Amino acid sequence: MLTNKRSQATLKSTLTFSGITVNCIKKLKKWEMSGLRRVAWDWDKALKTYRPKPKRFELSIWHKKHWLCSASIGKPTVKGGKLRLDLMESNPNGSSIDGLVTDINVLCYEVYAQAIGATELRITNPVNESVRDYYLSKKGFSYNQKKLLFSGSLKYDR
Amino acid sequence: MTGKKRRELDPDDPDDMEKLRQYAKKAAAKFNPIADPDFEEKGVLCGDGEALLSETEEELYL
Repeated sequence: MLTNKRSQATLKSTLTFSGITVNCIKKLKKWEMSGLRRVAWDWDKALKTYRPKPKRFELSIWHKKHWLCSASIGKPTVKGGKLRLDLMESNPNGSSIDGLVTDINVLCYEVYAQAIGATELRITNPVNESVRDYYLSKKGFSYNQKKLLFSGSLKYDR
Repeated sequence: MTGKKRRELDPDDPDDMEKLRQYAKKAAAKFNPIADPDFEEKGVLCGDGEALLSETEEELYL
């Protein structure tokens, strides 16, 4: 059972995970037209820059298979020692996992990092101070002002 | 040590996949299923798509 920031409960089993599919891109287009986003960049264009990267990690999280809760994309660095979480967006209209989207995404990226042998997770360009402070409260993450990213070392002996 | 690549797991190796499952279980166990009510989590959370599109190949891999 998960509890979102409005104290509403959601069964874990109602969540499904996928890559960024055609259906997901359609939903992302709707987000872009909602006028509720914090920024205005185009997911479709961003995805095109990642498609040639075979080790990219793309993730969409769905509630009851039809409500897109979040989408994110990242990729390992050239030598593969670090995994970058480059873009992450939660549904601007809200979802059943509001307040948990970041943590669920980071958890999935950690597992992928383990699979590809990366030992560090980097979260780039946190959108505002609220998000930045949230990561700073997480154990193991530090903020690099110059590169505008968070670095978190991944401990595999937990 | 961070930033130094470890051995990549082989998706066709049952032992490697079992290691990954165990790791996922441990990672999930430390996941807090209760959201912080004060955390404003809406819309874009990280990333600058416009900057990303203008990055050179070299910058992309920093």
